[in-house]
Order: sequence, then C-alpha cells, then structure tokens
Amino acid sequence: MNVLVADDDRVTVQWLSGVLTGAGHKVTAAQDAAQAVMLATRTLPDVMILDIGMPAGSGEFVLQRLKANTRTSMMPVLVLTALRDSSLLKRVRDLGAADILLKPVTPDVLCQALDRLVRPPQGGAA
Amino acid sequence: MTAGASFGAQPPRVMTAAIAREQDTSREVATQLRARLLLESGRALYGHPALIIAVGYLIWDDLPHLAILGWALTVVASTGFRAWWLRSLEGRGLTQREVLRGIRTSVALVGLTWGVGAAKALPELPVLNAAMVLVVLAGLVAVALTTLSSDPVSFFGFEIAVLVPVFIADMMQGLDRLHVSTAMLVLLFAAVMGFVYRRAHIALVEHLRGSVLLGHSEEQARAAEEAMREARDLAERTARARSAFLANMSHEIRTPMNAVLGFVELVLDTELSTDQRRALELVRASSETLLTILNDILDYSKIEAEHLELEAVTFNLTRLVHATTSLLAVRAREKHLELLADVPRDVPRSLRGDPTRVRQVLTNLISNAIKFTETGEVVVSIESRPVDGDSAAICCRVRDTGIGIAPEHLETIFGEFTQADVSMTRRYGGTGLGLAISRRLVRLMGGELTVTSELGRGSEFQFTITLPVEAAPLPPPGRAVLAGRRILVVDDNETNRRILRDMLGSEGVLVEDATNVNQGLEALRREAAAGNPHDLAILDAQMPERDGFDMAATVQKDATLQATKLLMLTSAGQRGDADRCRQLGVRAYLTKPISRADLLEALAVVLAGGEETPSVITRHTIADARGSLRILLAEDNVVNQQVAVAMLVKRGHEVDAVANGRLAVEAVERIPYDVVLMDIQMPEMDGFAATHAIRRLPQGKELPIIALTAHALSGERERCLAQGMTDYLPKPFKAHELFAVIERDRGRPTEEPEAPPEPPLAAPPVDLESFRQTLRDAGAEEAVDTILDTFLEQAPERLGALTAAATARQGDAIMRAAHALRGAAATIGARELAGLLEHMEHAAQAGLVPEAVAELERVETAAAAVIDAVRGDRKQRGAGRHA
Repeated sequence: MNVLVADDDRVTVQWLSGVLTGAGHKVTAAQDAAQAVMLATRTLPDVMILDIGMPAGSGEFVLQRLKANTRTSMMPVLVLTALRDSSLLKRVRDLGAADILLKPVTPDVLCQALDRLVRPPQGGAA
Repeated sequence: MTAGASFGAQPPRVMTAAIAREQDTSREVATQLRARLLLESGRALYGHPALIIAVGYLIWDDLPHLAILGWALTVVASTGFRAWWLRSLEGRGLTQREVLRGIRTSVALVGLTWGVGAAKALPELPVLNAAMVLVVLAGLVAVALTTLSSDPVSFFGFEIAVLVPVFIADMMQGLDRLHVSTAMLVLLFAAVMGFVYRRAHIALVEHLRGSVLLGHSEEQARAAEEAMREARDLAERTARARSAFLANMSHEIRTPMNAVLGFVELVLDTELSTDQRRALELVRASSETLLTILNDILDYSKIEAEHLELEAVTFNLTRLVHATTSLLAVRAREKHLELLADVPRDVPRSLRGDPTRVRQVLTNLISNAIKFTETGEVVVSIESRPVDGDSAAICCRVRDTGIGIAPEHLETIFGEFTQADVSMTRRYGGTGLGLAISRRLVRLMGGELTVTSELGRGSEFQFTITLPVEAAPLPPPGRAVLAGRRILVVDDNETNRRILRDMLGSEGVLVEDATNVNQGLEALRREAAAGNPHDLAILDAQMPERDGFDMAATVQKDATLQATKLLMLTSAGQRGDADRCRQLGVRAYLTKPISRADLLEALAVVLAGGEETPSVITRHTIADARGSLRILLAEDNVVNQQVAVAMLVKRGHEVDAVANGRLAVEAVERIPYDVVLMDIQMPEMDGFAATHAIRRLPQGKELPIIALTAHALSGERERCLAQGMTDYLPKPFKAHELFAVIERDRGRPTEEPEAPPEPPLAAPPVDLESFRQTLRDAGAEEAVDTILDTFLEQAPERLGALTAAATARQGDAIMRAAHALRGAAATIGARELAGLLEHMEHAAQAGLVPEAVAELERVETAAAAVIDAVRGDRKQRGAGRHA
C-alpha cells in the first residue's frame, strides 16, 4: 500500500521508510507540515503516519487540515509520538486520529497497526 | 529336627557356640601337645648314647665285651633311627596320626633296647652294679616323665618297654627275697611313675588350655582395638565426606531445579493461552516452594555439620524488612489479616551482615505468624540502639494475634521436625525445620531467638543481633548495554548451557559455549589472539576434571586474556568461595538457579565496571544498588496480584496491593507512592474512575499511573492515556516488561532527595547491534547505513542548538532542541542519551530550566560518545561503500 510518512526528524523518516519498504509498502516522505498536507491531498496515500512532536507543534495542524478536506477526511492517520501528555493525546484523538502509537515502536507493532487500519473488519476487501 | 527341639531355640544356639569354642580350644591344645612332643623328643635323644656309655663302662668287667658293645650299639642305633626319623619328618608330608604313630613306635623301640638289654645283663651283674643299672633305668623313665609329658601313649609305651623285660628277667631268676623285692620295687616304681605321669600330663594340658584361652581373649582384645580404630577413622572420613556430600547434594538438586525454573521462565516469555500461563505460573510457584524446602533441609544439614558460613555484606535493613513483608502481605491479605511493618527512622541505613539469613529468619517468623493466626494482625517491629560507637543492636519482633502456644510447648517448638503439636503438621503443613533453623541462624549471628506466648491470645518471637554500621551506603553501579556483547559460557551441563544461551540470546548477546575448561581457554585465547576478545566468560564452578576456579586461575595468569571479565555461577556454595573469587579476579559470584533478570543485571553491572572493582558482585550487591520504589498495585485477581507482587519484590521494590479502585485511592491519600499499577477492570471502582479520583488529589497529580489491561488492542493504550494514565502494560506481561515500564518513570524529578541518580553512562553508548538486527528482521537492513549517516550529519548541529538554548536558558528552545535530538537518538538505540534528553525535555517543559540546564554536561558527554561510536561503526562496516 501507499504510505505517507510525515516527520520533521530525518532519522525517524529514514527508519520508517526502511521498515515500511522492507514490509512491502510504497513510502513517500514529507519533512514538514506544509509538505505533508500537500502530498496527502495530491497523492492520496492509503494511510498516513504522522509524527506529533511538539506539544504545540504542527502535527495537530496537519491533522486538522486533512480532516477538514473532503478528499482526505477519510484517510486513516496513524499518529506517532514520544510525548506521554494525556491532554495532547486526547486532543489528537478528538481531531480524528485513527490510532496512536507511542515511541519507541518496534517494526512489528508498526506494521500490525497499519494492517489493522487499512483492513478494518467491517471494510471487507482490501 | 523335632518339634520339641524348637522350644529351646535360643539355648541350643548358645550351646552350639560354646561347644564350637570348646572344640576349637581342644583342637588347639592337641596341636600344641604334638608340637611339644616333637620338640622334647628331639632334646632327649642325646641322653641315650651318653647313658649307655656310662652303663657300659660300669659293667665292662662283669660281662663279655662283645655283649656290652652289642647292647650299646643297639641303643645307639635305635636312638639314631629315632633321630633320623624325627629329622626327616618335614619333607614327608605325613598326617598327624602317622607322625604320632612313628613317634610312639620309635620311643617304644628305644625303650625296648634299654629294657631287653638290661634284662639280659642284670642276671650276670653283681648286686651293686645291677642296682646301679636299675637306677639308670629309673632315671630314664623319670626323665621321660617330662620329655614325653605331652603324650601318655608314648610314655606308657616307653615305661612298659623299659620295665617289663626287667621285671620278667628279675622274676625268672628265682623267688628269693632280693629278686621278689626288686620285682615289687619295679612294679611299685612303674605304678608311682604312671600316677605321677598322669598328674603331670593333666597339669600340662590345663596349662596349655589356659594359655590357649588367654591367647583367644588377647586376640579378641586386639580385634576390639582394631575395630575401634577403624570406627574412628570411619568417623573422620565421614565428617570429611559429609561436607563434600552436602556440596554435591546441593549441586545435584539445584542443577535440575535450575533447568525447571529457567525453562519455565523462558516458556512464560512466549505466547501462551491463559490456561497454559496459569498452569506454568503454578509450576513455577511449586518449584520455588520445593526449592525452599530443599534449601531448608540443606541449611539444616549444613548447620548440623557446622558448615554454614555467614556472609558479611552491606545491606539496607529497612528495605529488607519492607521487601519481606511485601512478599508475605499477599498471603496475609488472603486470610484478611493485617500485616504491618514498623521500622523507625533511626535504624541505620547500611548495616554489615548476612541479609539472606536475616531475611530467612524474618520470613520464617512472619509466615509462621500468618499461618497460625486466623483473625487480627501480624506486626513486625524493629528497634535499634547504638553499641560501641560503630555497631548497632538490632531487635526484631514478630507479634501475632494467633492461636498461641501452650507453656509446655514453648521450648519444643524449636526442636527439629516438630511443631507444637503433631496434629498441626497435618493441619498446617511445613517441614517443621523452620524454627529450628531460625534459632540456629540467630545463634550464629550472635543472638538468641526467644518466644513469649499466651494460648489463644497470640505469640511474640524476638531476637537481637549486633551488626556493624557502615558509614556510607554503596554507590549504585552503572549498567552496560548487553546487546552485541560477546560472552563465552563454560559449563559441562548441556541444559545449563542452553538456558544461558536462550536467556542471553534474547538480549542480543552473542553467545559461544564450551563444555570444559580446556575448550573454554582455547576459545578465549583464539579470540584474544584475533584481536577480538570475549567481553565476558561465565564459568560453572562445578565441573569434572578442571573446575571454574581452576579456569579463573589460568585466565588470571595469562596476560593475553585480561580483557575478558569473569562471572562464576555455582550450584553449591562452599566455604570461602567468595574469597577465592576475589583472589582470582572473578567479578561476580552468583548462585543457581538464577533468574533471567538477576543474570542480566549482574552482567550489565560487571560489564559496566572498570578495571578496579573493589569486591565481588553478588545477588545482594545488585539488589541493594537497585533503587527501591514504593509501588501500589490495584488488582482484584489474587493470582495476578501474587505474580506481580512476587516479581516486584524480588526486584527489590516495596509493594502494597489492594483489590479495588476505592482502596487504591485511599492508599494514595495515605502513603507517598512512587508509582501506581492500576488494573482497569475492578469491582466497586474501576481503574479509570480511580485514576480520575487520584488525579484530583494533590499528591496524585504527577503520580505515574500505569494501566494494566487484558486488552492488547492498539486503541487501548491511547484510551488509557486519554483517561489520564501515564503508561500502559498489556496483560499478561513478562517480568522484564513490568520492570521496564516501572523503572522508566524513575528518571523523573521527584521530591525524594535520595532518589538514585541516572545510572552513569556505561559502554557501549549506543546499541547498534540490536538496531541493525531489528531492521534486518524487518527486511530493511539497507536502511541502516543511510540512517546512521543522517544521524552523523545532523546530530552535531542539533547538539549545538541544544547547547545554545541551554546557555541562553530558554526553556522552550531547550525543549524543542532536546526533543529533536532525542527522536534520532532513540531510533538508533542510543538509550542512555535518549533518556538524558527526555529528562531534560521534561524538566524544560515543566519550567524547571536550571534542572534542564544541569543535564547539559552529561548530555554532551553522552552525545559525543554516541557520535564517536556511530562514526567508528560506519568506518568499520561502510569502508567499501563510503570512501
């Protein structure tokens, strides 16, 4: 499947790309918020992995924009974060994140979470 | 045998023995008589020629010379024949009877030559000479009295042979007064000689029998002495063998137990159904119980054999008491008993003594108290007072409100294999050794275990021991990352090797193994020569031929093997082993069975240690160095509660367990916990409601609350976090996962002044090996080099930004910069650096700028080490591709 990875940390992006490519996915990477929104609306990936770094950072902004856009509002967004801030996580969930994973994640957990998002039980064929 | 004979079964046997003994004696007396006969006969031989010469000379003028010479010749010839016959006895192999017959015949023959000769001569002799000849003959018979005293037949044969011809010759000369009186005298002489002979013979036989019997009893005395000497030797050998046996026994028992516990632990780490997991937990619990009982018995034997040696290590008594009560609290709660520990603040923090044994005594007293108490409470209280400036007298009391002990049983309860009442063994179980061992242990520690009790009201056990107070508590040793380390396992036991391989392998350790010392040394030398020495070797102390100590000694002497550190595993602790380890440069000394957590921790500490480690690392050093947390566990399932409490307490934490959310909230109100483990589904008040309530408490705002839930769905974690919880642990969890999630929160700033500092940075700074392995497993190995290059490219710049922000003391900027560097550091496996950065980031976020800035120096050091390590790795591996 096509996966869009959005993270401002290049090391993390490369790691994600490596793991996802290894699992047979096609990966596009975005390095900042604007690029992420643009790529998401243009390429319409099957799923987006969004890193939310700063408590008041741009990740929430990206999520907000994607959910507001009818073309991308149904796209599952997997939020990845190292922050254990419960109010932030609550906000992210309210904004419509499909799942939240806490860093550090292992390749296994990541791939399983993606599979669950893209092949929901009620979705049937994939 | 008739039916009647069986009535006297006992007496006949005794008599038979007596008869047998009598027959023995008679046989021996007969043998001695024969020997004496031979000896005396030989001696008497020389007399006959001398006598016949004297007699011949006496009668030379009275008889024709030819007749005299003929007689003399006959006597000498018969004597010569007898002499020859006696001499030649040895070579002929005759039976006793033939020998006896020969002696008797030859004696009679000699006697006959005298008798017949005399009979012929007497009538021709003048009276005086005839009387002289008769005196000679009487002398001969008299001498024969002694020489033939051992054999009556020989004597009487000789006497008859000498005297009868004389008697006949005398009578034939006519019945005049002279001849008749002579004949009467000869007869009388013969009769008296016979009578005297009989008495002499009886006396001789009695004398011989006496000496034979005396000889027998002397023999018996010698045999008894010999038996005693043998018994003493045996006792000494037994004493020596006993210590070897104990060590061996301990080894034999622990080896399979080690396998059982080790494999159960490994299997528990795999995917299991709930039923399987429960069954295995039961196996583990039962094995541990079995091990406790075995230890009891071994301990007792060791004490009996005076082979129990106390350790003298630094330990924290307060923590020990809390840990002991935490572990037993579960049992107390099951019986709805209150288990309280009262350790005042003035108890010294660091004491020197044997923590294992103190804990053993306390555990025994407390579990007994719980066992014999149905309602009420069990209270453990400690008092201390200084003694001589540098020691403290520690008084431990365990009081219960149980069934009590009747006054007449107060002493017997300390006996071996007894409980107050025999019926109790059935009701309460147990080996009955516990109190006996406890009392002996307390005595070994210089105290006395005493009890006061009132039947039906309860008992109080107490003991006081004096222990030296240590000035400074132990500094916490650092921990090294294990993944990528190269470890050599030397153990003759295949199962042990496999357990170690599995335990270490799962941590990314590269394990090589050897089945004996020579093979192990070969492996060490080979790798050392190749410039790639093993980081550490784990030696089994007990191996056939050359043992672990032998190997350690060889390694110590070999200058090329100094890069490899040594860890000794033993299943049979022996007197002075720890000392031997110290002398041989062995860094750690651990007892089997060993849990994975303990092993990994010991390895991490040993590998982090510098060249100069002052003392040997043991289980206690590790447990004491590990910071202890006060943990609240809210979990309604008793089995799960027990499992979690056991894990945490063994790790050295203090745990209170409650069964529902309401109790959890109440506990948090009362006690300052470091962390709360919260089950989500509980009766009365569930985990979420409890978390909300705790968060409303002033002391609960920042308290880490970790959710325990059986739902492992990805949404669950986020749901828990959204409810205000700090972290999430899906059930069933493994011990090391639990430790990881709990101890992760320890790095946070807390108001506790004695919170242990972050462990110092220990080599290697970045775990590239497992990073590489993870990506290799995910099929993305080619991404590794790119990621590392990117890290190298951006890390210095980000570190610069962080330094700038810290120097400028801008909280926001510090937070952003720390976060930026942290993501990359965590990704490539630089855990220490990531941890430090996280701490810095959190401090900055919480507005604690000075604290964040204070971390800068350590972050810089750690970051520099990580960058160096990554750079080194790239140079080594990517030399071909990146010029």
